[in-house]
Amino acid sequence: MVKLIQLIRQYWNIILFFLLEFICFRLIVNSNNIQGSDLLNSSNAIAGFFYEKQNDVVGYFQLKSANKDLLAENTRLHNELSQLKYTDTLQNVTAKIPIVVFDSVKAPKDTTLLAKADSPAAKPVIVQDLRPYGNPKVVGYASYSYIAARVINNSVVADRNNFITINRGTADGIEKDMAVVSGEGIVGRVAYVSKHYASVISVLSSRNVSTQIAGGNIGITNWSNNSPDFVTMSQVDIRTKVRKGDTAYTTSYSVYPENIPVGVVVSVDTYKVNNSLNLRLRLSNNFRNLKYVYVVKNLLGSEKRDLEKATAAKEKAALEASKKPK
Amino acid sequence: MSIYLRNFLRFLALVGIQVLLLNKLSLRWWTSPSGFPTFTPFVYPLFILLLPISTPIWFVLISGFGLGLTVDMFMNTGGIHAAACVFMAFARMAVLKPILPRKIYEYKNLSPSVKTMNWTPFMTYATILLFLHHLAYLLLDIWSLKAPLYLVIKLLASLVTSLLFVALYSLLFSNSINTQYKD
Repeated sequence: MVKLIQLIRQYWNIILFFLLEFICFRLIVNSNNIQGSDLLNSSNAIAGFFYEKQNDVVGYFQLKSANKDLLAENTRLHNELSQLKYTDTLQNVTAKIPIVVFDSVKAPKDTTLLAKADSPAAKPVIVQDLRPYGNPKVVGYASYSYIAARVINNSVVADRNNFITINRGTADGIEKDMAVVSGEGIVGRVAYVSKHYASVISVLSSRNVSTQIAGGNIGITNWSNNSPDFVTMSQVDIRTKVRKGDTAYTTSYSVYPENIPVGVVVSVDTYKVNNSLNLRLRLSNNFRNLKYVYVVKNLLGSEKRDLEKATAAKEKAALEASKKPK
Repeated sequence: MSIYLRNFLRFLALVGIQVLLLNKLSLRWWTSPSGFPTFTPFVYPLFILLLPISTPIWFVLISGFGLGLTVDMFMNTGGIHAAACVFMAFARMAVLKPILPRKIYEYKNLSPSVKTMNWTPFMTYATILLFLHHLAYLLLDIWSLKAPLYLVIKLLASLVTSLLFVALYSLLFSNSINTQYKD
């Protein structure tokens, strides 16, 4: 016993060293899980506070370019809106407020106005009432709503997972695994949330994104080449006609809303071995220069998740039942 | 100023410089032009380098662990910096012993610095330990040896800029650099 204590005292430093390294490795392994520790990340109150204070100071020097970006985005949205306003077909329309349609078959029966128009003393009145009439019915609901946030810390230097800290948290309705986009393209998804801050794991990380190229050809995009400007889109069908300059968009399979730009094709590699194309994309977002982002709330997301969970559970139960010896 | 307060303030200052200034350097495009790997200079290990020589090793290890965890919290690296710092803290005495001319216990409350050690020994000491720290950090972060050239370039770029900032810090925060250690 005495010898054991002497031994421990002699090698105390080495034991402590290995103990601390063991704790560090456990932390690293934990942080690589999807459900990481909620304590040791930049969404906590202390880190968020310092980052926000720093951003308050530095942000002033970026006001001009931020203004320019917002103006460009505003113009683009106005253009999109003007296209949607005068659309003829009301099929597949989604919007933030319920879109209401009225029966346009019924003819107006405003007899009093007609009678007035007939009398010679009366001034000519415009008979046709341009207001909608008939019974309203709802065509479509919005499936997404957006929460604006300011980027208070940004990183592109890590080799595996890069994180962004934003100044919105659970108090503003942000939850784990929400998608984050900006005016130019996709940014990432929420990894950790605290009351007033959230850490976002950006596209520059080991998480894959489902993307599509023009014509609906689907591939998987991941960040592998350690440059903050490029991602690789792999497993694209070899028969796809792709040219340089084509844009890749998100699909509805991912956490992101559909048709958010990801990047522009800069080169195409053919892999004969597995009959696929590898596309190198230049990200449409400049990750060195993120200022404002939008957190996307999927209004139908929980319903979809519940359905998928229920289906998976049912399948599992059926599988177990079939395995049971009769 | 007491030695505890001085080291505590140094801890705060170094973490602040690291997190609020140096981490933002990699966001400027001119730090990594056309395909050059992005890198960050790390100046916060200077806290461990500058702890008094007579500090017991267990305290150096634990303070390294705490320092690493603080930086991990800010940088979302989840323990990589702590692992690198503990490794560096463990190697500190082994590097310091051959560089110092006299026995360790003869240095009462003195820190290894430019003032006490002179420029060449101090920078050698800083280079070796920062190299170990950067190597441990990058190996844990990249977690593969598929691209050794990438690792080496990133390591050298980080190390050279880190040493520049270490030298700058030593110039700024040591009153009377010309005083050499005399017996």
